[in-house]
Order: sequence, then C-alpha cells, then structure tokens
Amino acid sequence: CTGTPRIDAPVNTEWEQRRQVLQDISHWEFIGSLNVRDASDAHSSRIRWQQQDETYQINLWGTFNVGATQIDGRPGEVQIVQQGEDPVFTESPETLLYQELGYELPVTELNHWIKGIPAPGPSSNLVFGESNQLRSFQQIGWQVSYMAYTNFGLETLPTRIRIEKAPLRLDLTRLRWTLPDLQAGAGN
Amino acid sequence: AQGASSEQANNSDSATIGTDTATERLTRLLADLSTFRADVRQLITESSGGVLEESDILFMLKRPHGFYWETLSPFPELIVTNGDTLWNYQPDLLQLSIEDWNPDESELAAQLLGGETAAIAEEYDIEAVQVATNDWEFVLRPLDQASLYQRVVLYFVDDLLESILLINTNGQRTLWEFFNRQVNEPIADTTFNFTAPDDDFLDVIDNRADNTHETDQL
Repeated sequence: CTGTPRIDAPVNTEWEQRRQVLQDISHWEFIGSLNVRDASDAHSSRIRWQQQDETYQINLWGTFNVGATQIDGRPGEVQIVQQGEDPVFTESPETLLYQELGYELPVTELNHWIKGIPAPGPSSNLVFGESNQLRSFQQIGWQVSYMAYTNFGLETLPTRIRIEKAPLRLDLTRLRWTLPDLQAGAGN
Repeated sequence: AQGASSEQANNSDSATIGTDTATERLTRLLADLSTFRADVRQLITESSGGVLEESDILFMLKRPHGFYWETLSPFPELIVTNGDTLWNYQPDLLQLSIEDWNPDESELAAQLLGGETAAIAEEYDIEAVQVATNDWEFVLRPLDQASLYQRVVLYFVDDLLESILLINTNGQRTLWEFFNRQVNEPIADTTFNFTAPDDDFLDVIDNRADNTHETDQL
C-alpha cells in the first residue's frame, strides 16, 4: 500500500475516541489461528480467546488433537492445563506460559493489542492507515502490526496481527470475532 | 451432539471379551483398511463441554504410511505424509512447512488410523464391548499416567469404522465421525506426495535434516 501518513501528532481526537471505544469493549471472543515462528522452528495451532472484564479463557489446540492447552485467568491468578500435564497455577502468566508453551505469550498486553490498540502504558511509533486504523506500534519491546481489519457488526476489528520480538514472531490470523451485542454473530 | 458411542452405554451387560482378543479384534478391523477414504466431521469441545470448533475434513489413508488429512472448513489446511516426509500446507496463509517424518513417532490417532495396534496395546488397555452383532466399541485406557489421553473410544458399525472419540487429560474432547467411507478402493501413491505451488510469496519452512536438496517447487 502507498506510504501512510504518520499521524502520531500530539492530539488526534478521532484516534483517542476510537481507542476509548475499543478499550471499553470488555466482553468479546475470537477464534483463529496462531502461528509461532522463531529462528529454527515454526508451529501453528488454533486459538480461542474468551474475555469477560478481567477474566479470560484461552484455548490452544493443534490440528490432529495435538498440544491442547487451556489457560483460565482472573486478576492475580492464572491456571494452565496442558494436555498430559497437571494443572499449574501462577500469578504472572507470562513467565509460566514461556515454560509451558516454549514461547512468550504476553497475555496481559495481548488483551489490548488484539483489539487494535496499545495496552495502557508507554507505546511508540504509532503508524495509522486510512480512517484512523492503527497500522503498527511498538510496546514493551514488541513490534505489533495489523495486516487486516474486518467489520464485525458495528465494530472494525483486526483479523490478522503480527507481533514480533526477535527472534520470535507470532501471527494471529483468520480471526473471527464475536461481540455480545452482535445478533448475527461474527462476519468473516 | 455427543458421539455415536456415549460413555453412558453401560458396559456391564454387553459381552466383554478378554483384552488380548479385544486387541486382536481391533487389529483385524483396522488391518482390513488397506486404503480408506472418508469425509470426517470433527467436533472439538473444551473441558466444560462448550464447542471449540466444528470442522470438515477429507481423510485418505493408504497402508503402510500414506496419510492425508485435509481440513476444508472453517479454514484450509493440508497435512500429508508418505511415511518419509510430512507436509503442512496452509494455502490462505501461503505457508508450507516440511519435515522428516518418522511413523513410529506418530501421534496416537495416526497410529490408530494406521492400524499400528501392537504399539498401542503396549501403552493402552484395550477393552472390546459388543454393542450389536457386528457393532463393536473399543475403549482404550492408558496404562501409565503420563498419557495425553484419559480415554479413547473407537466405534465400529458392521465392522466398519464409524467414529473415534479422544478425551484428553485436560478434559478437551475430539470426536471424529466418518461419512461416505470408501474401503480398499484404489488411491494413487501420488496422493501422499505434496508438490508445492509455484508462488514466489509462498513461505516455506523446511525443517528436514537434509534440506539442502531442491524444495519441490524449484
């Protein structure tokens, strides 16, 4: 696509409004694919993420019933149950997820990134496409890029996201969203 | 809908025969499939019973090691092996990963479908439950706790594989129901060799030990 104007001007009211709208969506669900790549390896799995305010359930499973993992999170406590393992409890999901899954999954920030907005706290190099859709930004050492958006009912949400922190690259693709006030459920 | 074989079917009154006969019977039923083709309806439910995903899959098998598992919906993904190499192709993502394939390391489900019951019998207690004259249910329970599964149930109607239910240790269930089954019809060997499309944007991840040789599309 052509060079997109960098609108990280000090005050962009339209973006701030957009950001607030997305921030306020506290009940959502998506299903899609998660492709994980690092220097030497690549694997992909399906992912379903259900979020209700501060609690969430993430299911990961591979084609052919490989590596089924369920992550249930509430403020201050996360339980991870991997196929073939005993449940494990933790306060900080990130470190445990790294041990359990073998790759970093910044769950806390991803909760915001996934909707198309940076997480609270400092972020930099926000680049916007047309109609104020965020194209990319950097936060806590990750580069987050939005490759596609689609309308789901009244909302426009990402359907393809790439988050990178060398040597790791996570691609969230084929995202189909379900929002509570959507009668018809997710479009594609 | 719960699979054709629900655990509630009480096993007490149906004829349960000794485990070795069960293994032999299961072996024979699976061995009859020198080639097998079916449309598979896959239903995955999470531990509390909610549906995670329903998918439609085209499945083909050719002994000894030909295995073809193409997810048609809700997204396209092909997993195919000829016993030496395994291809995983995701056309909409333009991603292809290639790796060496060792049939012995194949996952339980592949071993089952591949008819490697001897290996399975070492790790699972196999119980045969006769549901009707030619309808059999085989319940596999892991012998040691480190298994990925609590239980696996295969269901045969008229001696033909009808469904497989895999219950993971974390409560997730995968049910495969086989439709439009074709047994021992000819299937060309080339079905199990993947040729990559000639596309510059194809992202090829070649994990083969000796991946210096030409990738297929060059």
